[in-house]
Amino acid sequence: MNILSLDTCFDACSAAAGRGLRTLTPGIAFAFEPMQTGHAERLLPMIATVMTEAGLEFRSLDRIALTYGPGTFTGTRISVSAARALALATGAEFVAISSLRLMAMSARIPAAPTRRIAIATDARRGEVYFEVFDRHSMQTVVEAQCATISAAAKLLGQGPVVIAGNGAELLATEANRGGAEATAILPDLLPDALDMLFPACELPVSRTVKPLYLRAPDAKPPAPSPFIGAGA
Amino acid sequence: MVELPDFAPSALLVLGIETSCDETAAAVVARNAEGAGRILSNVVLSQFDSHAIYGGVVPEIAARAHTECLDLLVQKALDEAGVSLTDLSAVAASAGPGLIGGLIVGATSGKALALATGIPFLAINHLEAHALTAGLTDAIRPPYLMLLVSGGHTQILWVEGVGRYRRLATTIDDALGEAFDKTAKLLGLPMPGGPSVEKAALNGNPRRFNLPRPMIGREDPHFSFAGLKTAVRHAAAKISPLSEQDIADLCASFQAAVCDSVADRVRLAIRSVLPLLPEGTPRNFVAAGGVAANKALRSTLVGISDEFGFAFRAPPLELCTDNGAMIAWAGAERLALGLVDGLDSPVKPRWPLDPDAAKAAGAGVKA
Repeated sequence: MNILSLDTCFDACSAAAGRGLRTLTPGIAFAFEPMQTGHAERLLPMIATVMTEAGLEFRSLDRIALTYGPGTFTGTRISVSAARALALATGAEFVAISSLRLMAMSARIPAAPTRRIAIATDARRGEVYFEVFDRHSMQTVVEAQCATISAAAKLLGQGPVVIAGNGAELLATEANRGGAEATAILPDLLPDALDMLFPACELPVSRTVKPLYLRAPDAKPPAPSPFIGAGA
Repeated sequence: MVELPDFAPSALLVLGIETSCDETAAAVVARNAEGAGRILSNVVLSQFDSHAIYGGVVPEIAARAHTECLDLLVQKALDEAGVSLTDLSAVAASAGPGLIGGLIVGATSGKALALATGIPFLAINHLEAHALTAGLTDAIRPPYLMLLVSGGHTQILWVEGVGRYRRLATTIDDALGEAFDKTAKLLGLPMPGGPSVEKAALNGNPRRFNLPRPMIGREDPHFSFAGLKTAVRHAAAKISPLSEQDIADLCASFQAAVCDSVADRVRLAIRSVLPLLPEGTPRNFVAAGGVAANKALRSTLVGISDEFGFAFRAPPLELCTDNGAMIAWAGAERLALGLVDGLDSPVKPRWPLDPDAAKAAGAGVKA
């Protein structure tokens, strides 16, 4: 199975490609670069490189794995736009993984042996993108959402939990103040496309993918004209 | 390989993607070796309804909408043209100027399509695409004079050739389409403001309100519409609440002031380019942009063209407003000259066509 994976949701840009049957050996190539801006300039050259290094032709792609959010609005759109256009050109199917789930997958081993694992990443404006998983089954325990630190702390509830991501420290402190047993780990955790390659062989596929923003656009209707009478 | 036997056997076929504002658009255009163009498909999806309640385009809403429909529109454009991606010579996407969120969606998609198909990518200046459209629709070759009037831009350009433009005038504050929109909003008329104001003006008295004619008589070649918009506000406040006739009269007076102001600026621009045109050279004046659809403005421009012996051309409305065909055509023109771009090329929310043009005195960041 030939797979390309990509992520641009947060402060990194990454891509990976692999070919094989049940497994992806021998040809795997990957690239990861931390960056706060510039994903739109780097992503496609990075994809070109990993595809070449993995010895893959675009027309032979079976699956495109991507993080479809949450993340920066622009970053989320870059991965979704690139993936949708690549799929149009290649006929490949999508494996869409939320950025929070991908990070939780990467944090599974460091979070052991605690049963619950939460991801909290800075969503600015005093809020975090937040989701809680069962570390064994990787089922969602608390749905992904954009929440204030105090709201997220309440949602964590009681009992042991390990929180990863750049919002973990703040959230753990707040949760522990309320009597939780939260531990913050991996403050620098970011999604990495490489971590999607192997799971993408086994995960369900879809024919389309839409961004997951978790936050509405900032927009409000303007005030009506002050010069028009009530009947106008 | 697509056969266009009645056109040319070796035409360039370019897919064009446009996402710089609130229209998601894709088109396929052919260009033959003689430089003639043909539109094979041109699909546009307006996001108008998504933005209507906000009284203007909300950039984030626009970017979200582009993301969810661009690939579908590209497929539709290919289907309608009867071509597949592998038939294409290149993919072109508007890369600026415009709203950065939408530009990133269009450029990223265009690069991905080009990369996966193994063909060149072209990052197109949206203003250049407007400027070159006359070559596609009317086979007009440079040099020619160009007035671009839309919701985002108000410029007079001297088009010397592909990639060679002299900006003769720009707005120092609002774009003309923006002035129409703001006037409509002020008077409680629906968006888009241009057609609303034009329609209301039909029943109005253009002489009832003596509104200022911005910039008239000034040697400085630029436009300004912010003051006119404020004058409309003051006039409306004075007689508020407004009757339907008041609104019609304000619209007609506003439109008359706009026409007078634009006419003065265009005359100045024409006088400045006359020395560049040797005797016997065709004199062409091209208008584009959504505001070029305004009938009062159009008749003003036709009048001025006649005055100076210029032929006036305005592409059909669907090619005056934002569309994918103009991006594809600009892409084909650039491709014919070998001007392709890298997959690392940036989008440019600000991207003047004439980087050497002096900053207009008093101009804000949008000019």
